[in-house]
Amino acid sequence: MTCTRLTRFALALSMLAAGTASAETYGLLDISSSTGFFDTINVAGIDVTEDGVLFSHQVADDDFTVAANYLGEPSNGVLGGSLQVANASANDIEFVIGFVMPLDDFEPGFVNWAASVTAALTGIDGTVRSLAGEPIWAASVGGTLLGTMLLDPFELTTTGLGTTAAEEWLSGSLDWNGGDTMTIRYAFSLSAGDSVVFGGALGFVPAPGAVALLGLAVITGHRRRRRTTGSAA
Amino acid sequence: MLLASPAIAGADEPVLNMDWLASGDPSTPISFNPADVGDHVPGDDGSTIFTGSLLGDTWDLAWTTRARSDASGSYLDGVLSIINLSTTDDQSFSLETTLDVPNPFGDTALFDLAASIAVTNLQWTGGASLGTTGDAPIIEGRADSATIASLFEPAYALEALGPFGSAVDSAAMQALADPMATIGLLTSFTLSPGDLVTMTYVLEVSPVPAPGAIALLLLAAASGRTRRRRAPAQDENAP
Repeated sequence: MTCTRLTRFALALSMLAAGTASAETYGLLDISSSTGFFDTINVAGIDVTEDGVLFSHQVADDDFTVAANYLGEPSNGVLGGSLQVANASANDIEFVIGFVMPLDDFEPGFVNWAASVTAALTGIDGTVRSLAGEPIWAASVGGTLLGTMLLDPFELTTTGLGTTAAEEWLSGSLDWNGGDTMTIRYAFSLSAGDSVVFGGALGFVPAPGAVALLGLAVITGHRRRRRTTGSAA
Repeated sequence: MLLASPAIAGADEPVLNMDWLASGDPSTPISFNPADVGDHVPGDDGSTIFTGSLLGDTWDLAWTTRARSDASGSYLDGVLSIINLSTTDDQSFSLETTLDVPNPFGDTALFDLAASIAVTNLQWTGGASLGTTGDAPIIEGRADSATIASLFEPAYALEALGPFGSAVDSAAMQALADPMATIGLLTSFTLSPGDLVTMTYVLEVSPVPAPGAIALLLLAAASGRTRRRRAPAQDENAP
């Protein structure tokens, strides 16, 4: 079963690469659960802003539902959004869910990045917890691990009826060899009859020098506009 | 995807309705049955789970909502994700989810309401903010369109700072209500441009079995107030 799953994922990855070559952008949603469910789904992106592409997909199985909604910027290395999961069964379910977004060509080199993750749980005596030895949240670019959050052992619980939430933030730098994907992966267990949503964002942060240059360009632009206005008057 | 609407499929499935409004989109408000727009699956606990998403010119909405209603009470929860796709303007949003109560209790009902909200900055510059719109709280638990319980009262604001930063908050309360034909969860808020809010909320309505229970509820409320009063005092004495 593992081989079949890996083959399907590899096939989907090749389709993802093909997708990046065309005008349409495709992301990959990879879902596996302890109920025996596994699937890798091509998610067509929709252009929603100048650089932004929305990836949205829902899966409704007998035992659970998954709703993934991500706003990505393949040209800037930014990916943010949410993953909603509801357990419809009478048993706890373990999930490993990944979302892969294609990146435009990035030159290898030193990159700064930052990320946050939020987890919010709702239900009655609900629990979301990490799987043994695995973080709930992990992110990578081009196959290189960027960072991990909500580290094992992590647990979020409600006593009786209620909701609860947690958030973490992380940043770092990477001497990167380049790559054409950005991936966020969640691994967790969700109690019977409860729901969880993971939110957050991940992205490259321009180096201070680049920010200074950008600021200079903005100021220069302002001055030019002011001068143009002055001469017109 | 199940195509049958609950009203057609049978009285056992809960009947839900959603009303959605985005201030930057003149094509809203829109009203829909989530069973007709997305997927829905039965839960082993007798509930039905609805999941789906909608996309507008200036917004993206995704939901997962669980509902059940029987003689022992009514239960409605929701997981929402909303992105303000405007890159320049704050936008106000509201979503009301209404559940029919097929067998209204004859007695006073206990409202249990809880919610968690999270806001995320989807850019490397600036921050993200979520706040109340006008006089409306962020979360309202309703019976027959009247507000019974509310959380995150005005003027409330939640801000996420830094590149791709997030912030979270949670709250809960209980209240009493007269018998009702529908219950609802309403969320209303203003969100900064280009940013994301995710939230979970839950409302359970159950009959209050006896006058003794009301006394217990009042006792619990009084005890909660005493605890809150003690907490700041302890902080003041801390080194």
